[in-house]
Order: sequence, then structure tokens, then C-alpha cells
Amino acid sequence: MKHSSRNKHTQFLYLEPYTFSVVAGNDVLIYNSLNHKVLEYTESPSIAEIIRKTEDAGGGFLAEIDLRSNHTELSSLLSDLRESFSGDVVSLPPDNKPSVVRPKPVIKNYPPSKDFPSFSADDYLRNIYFFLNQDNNTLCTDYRFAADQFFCPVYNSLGYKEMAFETVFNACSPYSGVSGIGIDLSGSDLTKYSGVNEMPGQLRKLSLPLTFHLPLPCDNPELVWKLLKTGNSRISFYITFPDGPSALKEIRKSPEFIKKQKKIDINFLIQSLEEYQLITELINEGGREKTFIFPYFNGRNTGFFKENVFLARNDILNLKPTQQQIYSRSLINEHLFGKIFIKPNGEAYANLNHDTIGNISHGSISDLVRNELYNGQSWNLTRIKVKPCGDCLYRLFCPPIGNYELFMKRFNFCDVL
Amino acid sequence: MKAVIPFTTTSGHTYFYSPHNKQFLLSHPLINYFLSLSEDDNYWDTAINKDGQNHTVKIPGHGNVGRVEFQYYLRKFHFLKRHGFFKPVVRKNHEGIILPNRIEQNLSQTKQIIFETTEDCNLDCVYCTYSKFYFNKNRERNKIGTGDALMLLDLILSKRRVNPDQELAISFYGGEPFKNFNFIERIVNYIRDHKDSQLKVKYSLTTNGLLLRKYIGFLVENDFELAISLDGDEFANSFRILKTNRKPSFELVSRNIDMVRKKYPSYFDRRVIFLTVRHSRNTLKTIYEHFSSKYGKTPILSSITTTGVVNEFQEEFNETFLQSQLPASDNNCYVHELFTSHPFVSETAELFERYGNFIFRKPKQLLNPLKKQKDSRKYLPTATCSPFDLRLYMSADGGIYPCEHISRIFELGSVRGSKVDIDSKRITGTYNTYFGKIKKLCSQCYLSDTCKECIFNTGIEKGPPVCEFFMNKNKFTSYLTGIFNTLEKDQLLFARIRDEAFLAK
Repeated sequence: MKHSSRNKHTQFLYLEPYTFSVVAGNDVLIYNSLNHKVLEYTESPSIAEIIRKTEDAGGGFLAEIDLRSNHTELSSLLSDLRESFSGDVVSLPPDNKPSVVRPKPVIKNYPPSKDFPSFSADDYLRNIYFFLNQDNNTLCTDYRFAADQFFCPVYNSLGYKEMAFETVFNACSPYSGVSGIGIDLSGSDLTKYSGVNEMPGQLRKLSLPLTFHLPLPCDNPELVWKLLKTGNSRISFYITFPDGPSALKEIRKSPEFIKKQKKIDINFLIQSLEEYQLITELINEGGREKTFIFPYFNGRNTGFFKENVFLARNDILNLKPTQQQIYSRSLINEHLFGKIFIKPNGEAYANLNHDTIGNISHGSISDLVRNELYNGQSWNLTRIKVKPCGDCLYRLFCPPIGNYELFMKRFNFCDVL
Repeated sequence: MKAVIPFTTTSGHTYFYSPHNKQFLLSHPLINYFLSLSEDDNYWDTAINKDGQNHTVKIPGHGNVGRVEFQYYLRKFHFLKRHGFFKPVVRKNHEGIILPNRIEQNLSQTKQIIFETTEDCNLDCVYCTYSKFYFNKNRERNKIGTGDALMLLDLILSKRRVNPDQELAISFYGGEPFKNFNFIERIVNYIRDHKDSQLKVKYSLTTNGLLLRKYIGFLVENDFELAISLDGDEFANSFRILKTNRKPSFELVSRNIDMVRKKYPSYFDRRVIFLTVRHSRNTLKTIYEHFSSKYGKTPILSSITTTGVVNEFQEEFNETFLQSQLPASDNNCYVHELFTSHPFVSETAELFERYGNFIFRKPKQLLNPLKKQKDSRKYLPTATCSPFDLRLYMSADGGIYPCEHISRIFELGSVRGSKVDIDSKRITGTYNTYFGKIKKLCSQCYLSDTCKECIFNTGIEKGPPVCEFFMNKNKFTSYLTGIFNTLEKDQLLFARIRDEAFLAK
């Protein structure tokens, strides 16, 4: 075999296994996941054809090329590929081709067969989120779509609703001690939940990481600190305007907060640049707690989103995904995978923007997992499956589809398409 | 340390495998030439860089290379080196041991209980492990003790943490299990009457097919998975002879199978599988042609047991049964038709699964990729199953074994005279002693990631273990070369393995 030498043999071009390509119409993008070099060719039918062949199993992932032709586009492609070490050319008789191992990610036995004997929900579950109680208080009304956009303990509810703690315990107990599964307990105000006192003792039996999600202000902080003593647990506070910032300032003064800072998350919900500026000071005043900012789309602040959330083409190209990230994003949705949300009435969702996958009162977590795997819309929602991302040259680079996109029913949070 | 493996196929194509990056690259011979050179910096600074200035450089085994080409591949070599392709990886630590509590845990969640219903059989297969060729106690006419079996079953069910996701398989094996049908019926009824409503049980049975006509109704009624041992067409099956008159069993068995297919077509499609032993009277071609044309199925293939053969009969055994009598071309025959049942496909799929970086065993692996940092885990040597994790086998004489395929000299416990003896400490002691004897070999093996060896098949009871799959760097290089020789001849095969071999069945 001779690489890249001109003789009577036929020349074949191939891409290295760490190189990815996307062909959209006559446009081509080639990405080297090692050195993050991006090669782009627009409106080039001949290059598009060649790159398609390098992904074609029928041709052994080798594209026959004619080096004798004075084709500038071809010369430039070869030169770009070789100089960036993204591909190469071999010269050989057509009946003596090498075997190019062109990787394509595969999850073994996925989705599992419906009568797979050893189906185990543990293999898929990451977090089970319970909304233990829900009210139509001010927070729930003002931020009624928050839970559809990011995880948030509140959503709009008609009247007070509560889930029996027994339901939570029974649903989770098959996963007791299983690593890689977390339980998230939330509600419009957990401190008012009727099962709050029996919770810690029961939850300890599960031996699972716990996160309690609560909005601030909170009426009974003593109870919150009690919850934080429940085994391997964290507290996640949600701060909204106008009352949240002062409540945060207040709670930060408490000795328990100071003592347990590393086990506390602060989530700021903002709707405008002004609110962002206001929380900057609060963030700077913070200690060792983790802080997160969630822009909240209220239907009127599209401009704020376009300015601060949407990505420009260059932002996208600078994301420089690893080979592993590209594999992952082509098979599953990293954001949404393995999560189940259960409302106080037992209705369960793999994502609150999608249809229900069952009711915990009528089945087990395992049934919900099966339903999402076989009939669901969320866990496997990759960009290739939606428009316009599926046709976009840059789809390898983008982060997985998130709740914002599902809620706003717009997948291209960018200026590309 | 496991180093990079350069290899050249018989067609002259050069590749290398990077254990660090888990990738197979088609490479220019110059890359493999650079790989063969000393790591000594002085050498690179002087000899190689000097070579790069020459008009042409003579590369052993490749011929002359122009300066531009030489310099390009030198840069590419350094690029690949920078990105870890030639970095050796630390071999897996095989110091792992099994602790007694693991036995308890395994018993409480075992996936399968296999009962050797009876030692009695109505066939007298020439290659049977009870035949003259194997070390084995003489076959008695032992039937399994029903009371003892129920006692074992009760013990396991009492320990079992009921998980609605996990089925328990109960399997009946022999001898010929139908020769003790009452036992099968008793166990099925017992489970029906006593099991926890959340416990899911499925049944399977392995038969030679002679008594199918009599019992098929019961199997259908209880949705048994039915595995029929059949080696192919009449000639292929001619080692399987009737005990009563030494005549071939093929005709009778085939008639019974045809009856099942006709009377229960849906059951036949769904629940009947065939088990075929490969030997000198069948080929992949005849096997495929027989089963696909007659039943529209591909069988599960296994090789004849080559361990435990009596020295006195070794030569006769080899001449009578071994595949080496067959043309090598048979090995790649019907590869697409048999596909995952084909030994080459299953082996290559396993190679890419363990040695490539693009086959993931679980979706969560994509979310939490294993870091390339030093793996400090201690692995168990060989591929021996953790005792009772997958299955537990109870022989007709009350012995307890980790599976049905290992010699009776490795009895781990027993259920005899209404007494269950499963001593976790003794069992783990046996395993850990054996592991201690073989771990050094495993730590030197390049194939340890796809190990197929069971500690009980290594002759470990007699002395230093001998692993038939052991590969040092040279053997592993030849192994990869062999696989790529075949993949090169069939350009569609790699993609088909990648795209289809890992789909859920």
C-alpha cells in the first residue's frame, strides 16, 4: 500500500477515525476532534460527493479520487485534510482495499428488546424528581412555566395538591443503594408538606443522594436544616424577584447556612439584564455555595434571550466538542436522559414539555422507564431528529436540546439557520 | 504496559492499534517504521531528522520514500504521539478476589437455576462428556431428588430481593430431562403455587428431541424456551445415536420437530432454538443450509469440549471430532447469513466492543465516560463468572456447581439428605486460590479485555494453569492481523458488525 503517491494505482481518500463530517446538501463540514480543526466547504457538489463516500460502508469508507485531474477544490480538500491530519489518501489497486475502521457510536442492546429478560431500570435512571406539594401561590403563578424551562420546584397548580410520602418511598425503594441514581424532592413549599417530619427517617433507609429544592423566602428554615441532615443530601434554593434577594441575604446570616455552604446550591431566576445586574452583587457576596443562573422566559423577554442565550456561529464553533461528546449527542439527549418528573397527582413525565409516560399510582418507576424507552419523546431527542438542526452543518457542535427549546418550540437558539 | 500494536495484513496494508486511545488506524508504513525505532531522543534528533533532509530515504520493507512524504509522515507521527496514540497503557490489575458476602449476594439475585433433571439419556452420543473420551465418573441413572431440589429452590427464593425487572430463569437439563418429566412438572407447579406474585419466572429446557411429541403440550402451556440439540443434517447428526439400537436419531428427532412446527407454529417461531455442536461432520455451510432451509432459523453454535479428554483416547478424539479436519475456507463461509451466530462475527464484535471506543454497554457510559486516569480497580483474573451470579447448577446427584459446563471435580456445595451445604468461605477460598495461580498469566495477556477463559477449564486442579486463549504481544498482533485479513476481503463486514451486531434481539 502506498499513501499519497501518484502511480498507476487508484487513489482513495479516507477520514481518520477521530474525524467527523457533516454533509448538508452541497455544503461540507469536517471536524478533527483532536486538534479541533474545522474545515468548511460551501456549495461544492464534488467535495460533498467525496465526503459522502467516506461515510459509505458499501465503498469500505474509501472515496475514489482522481489525482490527475486539475481540480482545485479537490486539491484544496486533500491539502486541508492532510495538513490538519484529518484524513489521508492511499494509492492501491481497486481490488485490494484496506479495511477502514470508521467508528459510529452504538449502545449495545439499546433500546432493549421488549422481552429482554434482564431489563433493569437502574441502567437508565439518573434522577427521580418528585413535586411533593403544589400551590397556586404568587411564586407558582408568576413563574408558572419555570419547571418547563429548567428544573424548578414550582409550576402552576389549581389549588393545593400533595403526594403521599408512602408513594415516594415505595417508588424509590427498589433502587435503594444503587449508585448513579439521585432523588430530588421539591414543592411550592416543602416545609408545609404534611409528610415532612416522617421524611428524613424514611429517606435515610434508601441510601440514595437526595436534593431538596425550595423557593426562598421559606417560612421554616429550621426544618430545612433538619432536612439537610438527612444522609447524603443537598439543599437547592430558588431565588426570584422581588422577595428572593432579601430572603437570601437573611438566610446567609444563619449559622447553619455558614456551616453547610458546600451542600447548598443557589439558583437565580432572572427575566432581564437588569435582574442579572442585581444578582451579580449577590453572587459576589456568596461564600462556598454553588450558584446557577437560569434565564426565565416569560413570553415577553425574547430580546433578552436573543441577546444573552442564543449562540452565534462563532460561539458554536468554539464549543470544540470531544469525540465522546459527539458520540453521546448523536445517540441520546445528555440533558434529558434518565430523568423522571412526578407531579403530586402521580402523573409522570420524562420531560414536563412532553406527554406523560404514566402514573406512579398505577405502576412502578420501572414501568415509566420502559414507557419512555419504547414510546417516549425525551431521552433520545437528538438534534438530528428535529428541524432545522437536523439539516444544519454545525449540528455536531451544539449542546443537546434543552428545556428552553422544547418550551419555546424553537430548536435553533442561534443565528445560523 | 500494553504498547501500541503495529500490524501488516497479508495484502500489505499497514495499521496500528492504540490501546491508549482505543482506536484502529490505517497507517502509512512510515508511521509503523517510526514506531519500530528506538525511543532514544538522540536517535531522533540525529538519524531521523537527518534522514528527513535527504532526497529519498530507504525504509526497510517498504522501499524508497521521497523527502516531502518522509517529512509529512514524521509530522503526522508526532501529531499522533502528542495526542496519546502511542502511549502505553498500564495493564489491568488482576489482584481481585471474591469475598464470602459476594456469594450470599449472588445467591439472592442469581439469574438462573439449572437442574440436571436426570443423568439418564436415551441417546448415546459419541462425543458426550460421559463417553469413553472424557474423564468422568460413570454415568449413573441418578434422578434428581425432588425434595432436595425444592429445598434449594426455597433457600434461593427466601434470599431473593424481589425486583420486578429481574426474571428468574429455571432450566431443566440432563441427561435427557424428559426422562424425569415428573420432576419438571412438580417444579413448575410448585413455583405456580408458592411464588411471590412479583417474582417473574421463565422456564427453559434443553432436549435431544426424542420425547418431544409426548411433552410438547406442557412446554407450550408454560411457555418454555425450548432448546433442541441438533447438529445439522443427517450426516452432521450421525454422532448422536440411539442408546437402544445404536441407530441414528436424526429421523425421529426431525419428525418430532416437524410436528411441533406444524401444531404450534407461533410457539415454534418464538420459543424454539437449536443448539449445534461443531465437529468434523458438519461445516458452517451445511449447518446454515440445513437450519435456514428447513426451519428458517440459525442455531447457536458451540465447540466440542476439548478439556478433560483421557490421554489414551486423545489421538482418536482429535481424528474423530476436531474441526482441523475441515478446509479452512469453511471458517468464513456464510458469514453474513449466520452473522452473530458466526464465530468470526461474534469474535470481531467483541473485539470492537472491548478494544474500540465506540461501542457502549449502557447509555450511562456516555454520560459519565471513564476517565483516562490510572485505573486503580482490582479485576478478577480470567473471565470466570462470579459464582452463582449468572447461574447455579444442581446436578442429579445433588452437587452444586457454578454452571453446567464444568467438570464434576469442581463441586462447590451440595444438597443431599435434606441438607444444603453452601459454604461461602470455602467457595471463595477455592476461587481465590485458583485466581492466585493464574493472575500472573492474565496480567501479561493482551487479550485479557475480551477474555473467554474459565478458570475451571485451565487444568488448574492439576498444576500450573494453561490458558488456550493467552496472547502475548506477538500473538495479539497475529490475531489482529487475522481479523483484518478477513475484514479486508469483505468490505461490508465491518460496517455490518458495527451497525447490526449490537442491536437488541
